[in-house]
Amino acid sequence: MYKGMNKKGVDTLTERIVFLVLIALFFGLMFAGVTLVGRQITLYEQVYAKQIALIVDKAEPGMDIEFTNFKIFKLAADNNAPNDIVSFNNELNIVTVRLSSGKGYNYKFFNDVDVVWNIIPDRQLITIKIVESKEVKDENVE
Amino acid sequence: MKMWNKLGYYRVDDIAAFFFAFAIIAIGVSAAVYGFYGQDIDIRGEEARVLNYKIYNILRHRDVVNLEVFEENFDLLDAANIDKNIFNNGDYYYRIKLLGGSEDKVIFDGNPDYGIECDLELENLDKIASKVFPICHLTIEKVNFGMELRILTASNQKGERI
Repeated sequence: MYKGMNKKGVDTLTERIVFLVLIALFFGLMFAGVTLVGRQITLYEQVYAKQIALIVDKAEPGMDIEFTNFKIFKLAADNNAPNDIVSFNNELNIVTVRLSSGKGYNYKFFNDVDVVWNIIPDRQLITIKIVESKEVKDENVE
Repeated sequence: MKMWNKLGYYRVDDIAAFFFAFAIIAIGVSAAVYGFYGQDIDIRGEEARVLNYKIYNILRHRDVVNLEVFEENFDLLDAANIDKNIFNNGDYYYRIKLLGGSEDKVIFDGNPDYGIECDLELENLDKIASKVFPICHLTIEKVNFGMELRILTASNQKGERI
């Protein structure tokens, strides 16, 4: 029996390695989680979703609204977000903002309008067109 | 049961204690992080204000009160271009009072609980429940023939992470 074994035959060296790996894994996960939260992506998603919902609530049919050069594109690029960083569900009156690979943040707008939106990443531009409710079916530009 | 030997953990039973200790740490760190970063942006007040403005625009037409609004078959939500499904999902409320005429007129719609909660909030009777209670907006205006128009709107939409 070498020094790494105890009387019961349990290999304490292996045990210690397993525990060290577990500890490393634990702190690694904690660090990753804190870093992710610390980037405040979830907060930005919430802020932008609520801001856009408020803008839609205040808008009148016929209005065209442009968001240009704002931080949303940089945050989305830094966090591997999909292309549809902002999307609308006109049936449920919901705006969704996704700035990471997660599912994003939903907020409802009460203005009875439909929204046609277009995202142009090259120009860092999001355009929103407010139209009378139910005029829009499948004409949203992806 | 001996928990430690000179070399550290040595019994399988102790793994439970090990994980328990780490769970406590994880909960502590998570709570601290959530407390620090878990802010909520509150736009309920602004929503209540926008709602109030939309209703006001229907009620006030060329400096007179549009009394049609108080008629039973008048669809105020439709006139103000407010989505009925969203409005009636329990997060919103409005109450319109026209006081001082031959008879007071009152109409309301949405979550009726908010009427009471707004009254408490606006009279400063409740100072602790702003996270639970809706945020309310009240417009009071003197209108024709010495009457008073009161438009109360409330929003309690919280949004959701999906």
